[in-house]
Amino acid sequence: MEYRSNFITWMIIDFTWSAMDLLFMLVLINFTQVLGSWSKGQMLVVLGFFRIMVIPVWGWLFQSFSLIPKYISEGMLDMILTKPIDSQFMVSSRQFGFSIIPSLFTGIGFTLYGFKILGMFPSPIFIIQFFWLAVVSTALIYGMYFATVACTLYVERLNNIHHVFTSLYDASRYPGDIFSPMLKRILTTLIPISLVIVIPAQSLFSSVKPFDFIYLHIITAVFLILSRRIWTNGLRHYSSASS
Amino acid sequence: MAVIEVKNLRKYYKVHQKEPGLSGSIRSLFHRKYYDVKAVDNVSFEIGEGELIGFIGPNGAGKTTTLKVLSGLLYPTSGHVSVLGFTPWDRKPAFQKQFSLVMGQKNQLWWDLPAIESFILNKEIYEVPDNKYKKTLDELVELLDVADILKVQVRKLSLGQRMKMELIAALIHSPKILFLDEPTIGLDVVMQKKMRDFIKEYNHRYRATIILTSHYMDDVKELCDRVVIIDKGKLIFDGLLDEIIKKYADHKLITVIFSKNNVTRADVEKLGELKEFESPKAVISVKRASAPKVAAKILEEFPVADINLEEPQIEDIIREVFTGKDFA
Repeated sequence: MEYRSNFITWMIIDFTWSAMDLLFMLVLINFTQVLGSWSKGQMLVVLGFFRIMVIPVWGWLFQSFSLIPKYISEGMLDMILTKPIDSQFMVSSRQFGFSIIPSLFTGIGFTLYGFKILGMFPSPIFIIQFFWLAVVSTALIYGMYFATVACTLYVERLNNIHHVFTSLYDASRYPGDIFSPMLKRILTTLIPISLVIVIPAQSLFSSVKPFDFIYLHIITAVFLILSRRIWTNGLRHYSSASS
Repeated sequence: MAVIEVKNLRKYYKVHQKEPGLSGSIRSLFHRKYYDVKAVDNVSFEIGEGELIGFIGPNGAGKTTTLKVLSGLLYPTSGHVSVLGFTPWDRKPAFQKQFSLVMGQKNQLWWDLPAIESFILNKEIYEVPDNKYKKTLDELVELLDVADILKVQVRKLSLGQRMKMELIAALIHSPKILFLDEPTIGLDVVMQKKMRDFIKEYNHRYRATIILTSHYMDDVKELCDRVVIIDKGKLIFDGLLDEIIKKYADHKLITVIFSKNNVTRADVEKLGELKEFESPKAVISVKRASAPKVAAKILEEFPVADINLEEPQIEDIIREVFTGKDFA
């Protein structure tokens, strides 16, 4: 019973988040039909994709990554490191939360509503392009998020470090154009959170600029390599916890 | 042939030292003091195939740190370590498939799932063929008598049941080397005995090399012929359990039951160090060399109903080694 209650509670929380997102966006849009260079319909497509991406980000990465600081500070990583399997893979795939599934439906709902306002529907080429960019974006989120939590290996006690990334991730639902030029630069280079939602969502209603397409791939590769380096080098610093 | 070789192993840590109180916490933010801990200091030993070694020492002696280096969790400060021909901290899968580490205070089982799920996961991780997995699991389940709790959530099991499941999870790939770090900690005496019986049987049946650390001397006495004693990071003894008595016990115990109650405490104190006196019984500690003479004198001068000359308890000797004397 305890698992079912937990599951249902999380579903309710997920629906509430979706509703709050929609409400916030509608309030914002109702005061102006255009935000930056983005129309109401386009913003809803972005918001829809943001909700869909809740599944890999919260249902997978958050579930697994939030446990990593605990493994390190309490020495549970010992049992993982003795296994003949890549430890990064093991800690990255420990847990999945299926209670987040409603986000898929609300996300699709927002996206379809956005297209209705736009008065169009994406072509098959755009849909294929979108799926590929969604995969690349997930890899970029993985790289950024994992690089953040892997820092725990160096200092052993950073129990809340995963909140740093999840807080930043919230900014991804807004197109970079709505931020100041300086902040936009930071959010597309140092912490490229602004790319992960906007570029794939944009690919559903317009062609992605070649520069953006290539840049997304390069920065994803950079963050994947960086996160791997931080993890493998950090394991040399791992001192385990006392027994 | 040695399957584990350790030469001049050293593992030093830097540990932060914080002054007590709020002011100490604030000061440590700006000026941190560190000191070096020599967790393992120039330790060397070899272990042959199929041996069951007891690794004993007080808390913080360096036992667990040594096991963690042997299992590749920690990089040593210096020294040479070879386990089955591998350097442990290279963490090669070919090496990891041949050993297992069981820590009494840490678990690898999934807390919210039945233990059988963790066994299946380990089967896949260690790439154990289906038929071998089934055979090994059946044997272990029978040896540990846990058939009825395989499908019960781990968090609903007792500590003893959980420890049995931990052992199965650790042994599902039939490791050649088993590191057991306090496997009986927290268990009641009945369960401790069952665990010991299992470890002994497993060692005999599979000729697995086992290093056991434990604070319970019963574990060591019952299971290990050879013991390695480590204290303050240094190895102070490596040999047969019986040799500890020869090396460190410079005295013997004489237990006498007097036939009359007129023997006084003062009379007995003249014979040696009086350990216990509750008329008509007395226990006297005497120098090993003079023990026969003292025994003869007692028989000659006192009314004796029974007399017994014995070695001191191994626990007492080891306690003396750890607390009183510098044997390093």
